[in-house]
Amino acid sequence: MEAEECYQGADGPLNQGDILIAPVARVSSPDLFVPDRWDRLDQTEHAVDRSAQGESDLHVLSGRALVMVTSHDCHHDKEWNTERNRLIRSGLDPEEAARIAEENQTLDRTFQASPLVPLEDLDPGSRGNYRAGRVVGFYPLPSPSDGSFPESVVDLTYRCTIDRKAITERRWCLTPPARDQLRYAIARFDSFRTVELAESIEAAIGKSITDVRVDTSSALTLELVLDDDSVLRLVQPPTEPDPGGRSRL
Amino acid sequence: MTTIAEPPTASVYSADAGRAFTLLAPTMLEVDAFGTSDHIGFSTSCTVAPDARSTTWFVTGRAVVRALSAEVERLRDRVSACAGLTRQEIARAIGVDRRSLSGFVNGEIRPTEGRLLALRVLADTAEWSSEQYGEHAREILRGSDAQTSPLALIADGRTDIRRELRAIAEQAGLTNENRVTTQVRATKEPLYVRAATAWAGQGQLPTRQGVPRDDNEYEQDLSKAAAAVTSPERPRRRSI
Repeated sequence: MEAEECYQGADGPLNQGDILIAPVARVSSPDLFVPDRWDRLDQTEHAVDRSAQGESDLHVLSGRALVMVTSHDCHHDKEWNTERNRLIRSGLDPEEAARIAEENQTLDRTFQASPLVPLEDLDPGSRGNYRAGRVVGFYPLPSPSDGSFPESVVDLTYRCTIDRKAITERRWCLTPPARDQLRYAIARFDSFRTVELAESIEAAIGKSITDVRVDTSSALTLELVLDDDSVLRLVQPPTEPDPGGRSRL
Repeated sequence: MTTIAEPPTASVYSADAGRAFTLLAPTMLEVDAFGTSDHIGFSTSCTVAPDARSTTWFVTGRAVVRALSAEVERLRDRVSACAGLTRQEIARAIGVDRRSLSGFVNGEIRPTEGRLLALRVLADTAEWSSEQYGEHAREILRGSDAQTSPLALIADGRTDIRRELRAIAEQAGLTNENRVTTQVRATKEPLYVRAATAWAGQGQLPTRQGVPRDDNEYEQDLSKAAAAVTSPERPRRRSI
C-alpha cells in the first residue's frame, strides 16, 4: 500500500492505528538479552532489587519509541461511556454527562501499542515477506510523505500498555482500509495464525452446503458444512462500530 | 570609584569615606542593611578590594533580603520536616552556629552564597534520605562520627553525598528496599528522534473526549450464536 492510501492526519480522540511517540518497556531476564530488531527500543536497562521480599531481581528494558495503537477505539472510551451513561441515568443531560465524564481523571487512560521497527533492522533475506505482510506478527508500513520514519513494520510481538498521558507526539493515523488490514494482522497473530481460506474455498468448488453453524466460543467464526461432510471455517472480519448516541435509557 | 570586579552591575558606597565601588553579583548589592562586607556576604568568586573588606556599607534593596530570609526559613523547615534534624544540626551542616542561622532567617544577617548553597544541598539531601530511609533519615545523615558525618561533608562544600549515605545505611543494615539501578545502553538512533523533529508543531495529542456508544458495544450477548449451533449427537452414557 502506498503512503497516500495508508496514512491520514491524526486528530480527535485516540484511534486504533494512530502513530505516536510514547515510552515503552518490557520485562527481561537477568542476562538482558536484546534481539537485534529491538536494539533501538531498549535504550535503558533497569534492575529492581527485590531482596527485601526474598525474591530475585526484576529486570526491565525501556525506551521512548514510535508506536502504533493496537487496541480498539471502543476500548479507549469504555469507562468514559460507562460513566457517561451512569450520569445520564442519574438525570443529567447527555452533554453535561459527557463533560463531567471527560473531566474525570480516574477513568481508564491506558491503551495498547506496538513499536515500529525499520525494515532495515530485519533479516535482509526476509524483507520481501515482511513488506508483503506475509510474516505473522508484523504489519508493514510505508514511509510517510513527511519522511518522519523509514519503511517499517509494526512489531506486534512487542506489545505494551501505556498511559495516554505519557504520549508526547502524534501525527499520523491509518486510513480505514489500512486499519482493516491492521485488524486482520492482529487477529491473525493473536488467534487464527494460519488462514487457509483461499485453498479451502478452491477445494469446495462443485460441492453443496448442507448446514451452517456459528461457533459458540467466537461469534466471528462461521462453519459451512459441505455435502461430503467437510467443513469450511469462515472468519467474519470485526466491523467498525457505528458512533451513535444511546438509543435507549 | 574603584572597580572591584567585572562585569560591573551596581554601585556600593562607603558610608564613611564616600567612595563608590562596583561589585559583581547584583543580588549582593541590593541589600538594605548596615554591616561589614562579611555580614553582607560577598561571593567567593568576587574579588573585593582589601580595604573594602572592613568598610561599613550602605546598600539598597530590602526585598532581596526578605526573599533570602524567606528561602532560608523554607529550606530550614523542609530539612526539619523531612529528616527531623535540629536547628543546631542544620546550622552545623552549613558551617555556622545556631545564632547565625537565626540571623539568616530573621534577615539580620545575609547568608553568603556558599552557606545558601549548603542549605539547599542539605534540604535536597534530607528529602532524598527521607524517601530512601524514612524514619531513619536523621540517623543516616548524622552518621556515627561527627568529624566524618554526612552533615560535615555538606559543610565542607560537597553537593552530592548519596554514595556516602548509602554506605552508612548499608553498614547500619538499613538498605533501601526495592532499589532500582538504571543503566543507559548504547543503541542505534531510536526512530522517534527523527519523527519528533519532523512533527514539531504539526502533531495533535489525543483529546479525552469519547465517542458515545451503546452498552451492547461492550457487553455482547452470544446466546443467539449459541442457539444457531447444531449440537453434535453424543452417544448416551450407559448407566451401570
